[in-house]
Amino acid sequence: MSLQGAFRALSDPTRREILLLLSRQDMSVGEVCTRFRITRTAVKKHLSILEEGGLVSAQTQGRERINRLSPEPLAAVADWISYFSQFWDTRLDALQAAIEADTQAQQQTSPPAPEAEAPETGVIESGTIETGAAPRTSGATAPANASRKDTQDE
Amino acid sequence: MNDTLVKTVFFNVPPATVWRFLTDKDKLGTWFHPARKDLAEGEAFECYQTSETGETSRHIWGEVLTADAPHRLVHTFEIPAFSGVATTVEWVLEPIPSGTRLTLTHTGVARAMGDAALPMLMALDAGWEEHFALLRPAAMAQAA
Repeated sequence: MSLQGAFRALSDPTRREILLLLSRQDMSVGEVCTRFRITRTAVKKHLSILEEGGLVSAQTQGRERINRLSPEPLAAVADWISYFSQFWDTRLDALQAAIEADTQAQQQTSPPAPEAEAPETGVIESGTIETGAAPRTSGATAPANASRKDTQDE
Repeated sequence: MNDTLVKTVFFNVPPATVWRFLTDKDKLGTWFHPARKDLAEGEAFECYQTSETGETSRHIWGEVLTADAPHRLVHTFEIPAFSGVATTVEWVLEPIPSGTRLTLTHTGVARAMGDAALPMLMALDAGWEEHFALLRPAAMAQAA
């Protein structure tokens, strides 16, 4: 199972809507079309991406293709511990940035931060202490998440 | 299944400063989501989101179980996808020579999610979308 395909399928709000519809009942392409104000071609495209992602299976019944939700990959995608781990990493980065901004505003002595490499994140797992996780200095200020954004490209 | 998340992060400001960012309704908005009122022991709290039309809706909420300033804050943590099952978040602030060590412990997530995978994914709004995007590389690495 390609997790990549499942993520691609889930990345679009219309496709997530379609999944939600299919979670209630199986539907033909035509039935799915009645729920959206987009062309039949667009709906079919979404369905085929969902199928490629393993989230929907389609069965031919007579002249119709009946689409059915395949929830199995969702379990793999929905690793909630990872999800919330990332959630807190993002928030804690934002907290560090917010506190730094606040400190600098109070001191009012901050020269503009140079274009620095995004610092190592100060967030570490399970209490493991790294020397690299020392408090950031003002010179190392980076937008929250800067150290992560660059790893998200496909 | 390991159902506990632990994060440790360091700040070069004293615990009292960090504490304000965890409990002040407006300071919470600078890094999390703004709260309706300051967090106080024994009271419910609600962090909200503001839509494009200016309406606010509760986003993350819970009850403050312990607020021992500036040492320890414990609160339940609920989101719509948990459908009524509360998880628990504990913040421990320890003074260190250069500032504060903050340890976050979030328990009960997997239990709270249960079979709610699909509703959760459906509930992804702009804010969560960002986190979901971040999950991708992690999940990829795990699948590899």
